[in-house]
Amino acid sequence: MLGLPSLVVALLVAEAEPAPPGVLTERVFESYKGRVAQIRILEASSATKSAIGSAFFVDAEGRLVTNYHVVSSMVQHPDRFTAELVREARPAARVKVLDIDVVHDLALVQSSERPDAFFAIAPVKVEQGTRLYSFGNPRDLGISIVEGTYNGPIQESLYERLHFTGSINRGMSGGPTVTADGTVVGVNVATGGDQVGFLVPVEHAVALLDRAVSGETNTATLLVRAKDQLLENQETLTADLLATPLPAVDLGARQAPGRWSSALKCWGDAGSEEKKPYQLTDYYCFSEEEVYVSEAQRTGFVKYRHQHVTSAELGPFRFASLVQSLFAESVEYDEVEASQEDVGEYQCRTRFIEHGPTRLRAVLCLRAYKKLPGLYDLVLRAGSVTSADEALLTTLVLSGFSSENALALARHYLEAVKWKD
Amino acid sequence: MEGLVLEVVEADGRAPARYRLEEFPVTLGRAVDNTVVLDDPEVSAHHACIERDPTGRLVLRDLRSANGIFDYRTRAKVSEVVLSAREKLKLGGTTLRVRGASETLERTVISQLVLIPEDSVFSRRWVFPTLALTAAGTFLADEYLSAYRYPEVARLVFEAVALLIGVVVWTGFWSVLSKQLRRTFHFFEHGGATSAALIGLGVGSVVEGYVAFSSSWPPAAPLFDTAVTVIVLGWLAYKHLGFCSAWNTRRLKLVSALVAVVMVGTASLYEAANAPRFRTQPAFPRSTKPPAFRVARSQSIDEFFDGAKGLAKLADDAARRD
Repeated sequence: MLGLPSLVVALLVAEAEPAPPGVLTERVFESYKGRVAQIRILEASSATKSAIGSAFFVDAEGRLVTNYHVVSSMVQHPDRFTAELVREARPAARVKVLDIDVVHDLALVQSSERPDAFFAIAPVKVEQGTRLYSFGNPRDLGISIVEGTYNGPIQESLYERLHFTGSINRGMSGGPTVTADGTVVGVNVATGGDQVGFLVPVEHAVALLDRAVSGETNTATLLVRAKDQLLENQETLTADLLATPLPAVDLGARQAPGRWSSALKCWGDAGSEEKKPYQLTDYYCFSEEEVYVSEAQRTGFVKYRHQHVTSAELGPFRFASLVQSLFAESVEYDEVEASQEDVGEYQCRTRFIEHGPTRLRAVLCLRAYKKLPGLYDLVLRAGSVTSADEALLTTLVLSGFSSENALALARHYLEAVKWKD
Repeated sequence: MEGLVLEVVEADGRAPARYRLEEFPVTLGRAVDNTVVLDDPEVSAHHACIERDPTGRLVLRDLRSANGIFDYRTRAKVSEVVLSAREKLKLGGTTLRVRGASETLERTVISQLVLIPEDSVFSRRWVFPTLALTAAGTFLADEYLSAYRYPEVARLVFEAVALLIGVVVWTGFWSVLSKQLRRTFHFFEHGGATSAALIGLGVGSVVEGYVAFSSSWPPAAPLFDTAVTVIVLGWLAYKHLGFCSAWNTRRLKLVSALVAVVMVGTASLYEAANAPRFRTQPAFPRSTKPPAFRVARSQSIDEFFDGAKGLAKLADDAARRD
């Protein structure tokens, strides 16, 4: 007799408590998995897979949102690559790229198949700590769900990204991250490793979809649109940087540009424990985010580095050798990822510069983008040549700027390299 | 034919005796009363004579000699033959060649023997060791001045000794060659020249760094480097070949220049073939020196960035090009 009431009580208790997380995830997965698909990029001549990513339906017409980097080869080489949409238990559907937002790494694609259901996307506000579910097809293993938490927009970033604490793996790029009720918060874009995932805020996907739905006709090719978006983006970056007073960082008797923008991360390092006849201080700043252009090329970033070195021991010739090796090195540092297909070679100009008491040997190099004309990478390297026991070397790298803006920024930067009064 | 020149031709083609003949008839034979005396046991005392025939041609006639006259061209024994220039005849064991009296002479061949001047600097015994030690010293000084860490003395000493051993081995090779070709080793001469060339190359590479630093013209340093290398290698080849060949000065200079140009050219070709086809890094002279060595004029920041405006166009051109 005792058994029945206790069972009822148990049932009542179960009813009153929220469903355990595992059960809810199952429900979320069942409800929305049909709205997510895999995109396969195929090499046209051999019809073999060259890349995979994820995408999700955003309207009844068969439009999907994914990452630009998933479909970039179709944009770069429309004649060499095609794509297909793969969904469970359905034949593969043809896919065409409608529009892109290269700066935010988004693309809108059209499927030849209509979906049974789709995510209605709209700008959304979510509290930090909200439980989120990320969909995608990691490593070609099938549509999967990853649970995690929302941790707000990333501070100190050139490009807006949301921080999602959860594992976004290769192949999940372009998939949606949603709340339990199916509201899309962002688009999976990158991983920082160790459960640090990055999402593109959904409002950029909304803007991309609105542009397509409003019938705004854009006859420009996708590459031209990419170029225009990058040019517009660098105008904004340049205006922001030039409007910000450039703080100075003191390095011995020299001054050099400090943290120019909150979007830059800056670090310092003052030598190692190894005994050396000189003292070297390193200071460097960089924007962590960059814009994906093609498999071989990234753009849209700023980085710079100062090296300040002093020695009481070396004497003028040996000190000059030290400065020379510093001036000649940092091979890694001034290299900006790109291939011969994307850019021309750097063209450089070396001069001695004098402003006030400051004496510098400066090298300025520019290289032009081939497929995105009007954009350039700039490398400025300068070293002080006045003193036989103290030197300052500095390198600025600007990627994806118009030549006028790159030179204006470089000039602003170089003016901030000076001798302390 | 007015007159003629008769040559006695040796087996090696040389003509040690020539007779200029203008009055005819003349006689040829072993006896001393002949016009042309041929010291050959197979030649008869009065072997032959040369006379003008009624039409004025010069004819060689056999005077019933024991061995007769052979015509080289027809390989036949002849009793008489009309002489013309370049004709070759055999009298006994002697070969005679006929030349016209007015035939132009070949140019004088310059003597193939080049004498090594006794007072060559490199012939003095103390020069080689001094130069070799100076080369090692130059190397050590450069290593020290370009080292900004604490120098590793043992490694430096090892490298300097290795350099000296290299010089001796190289010198030995050329000395053996000299011995083979000129019967003298010329060891000190080869060694002195090698050491001097090493000093030249070492000093040249140091100076190149200063050229790269002081001038703002990028090709200055590579041009300087090429010029120094060609000159030093050419000079060294001239010395080595001079001590082990019998070539005249003109040929020595030509061959040495050729050797230097071919060596530097091959090295540049090799470098060009191995250079990356496309550079993702900026290429610029990366040399810095003490401030006192600055030669090029300084620019203001305005001038620098005004000048840089042309870079965008250069970059566009480069992007179109490759």
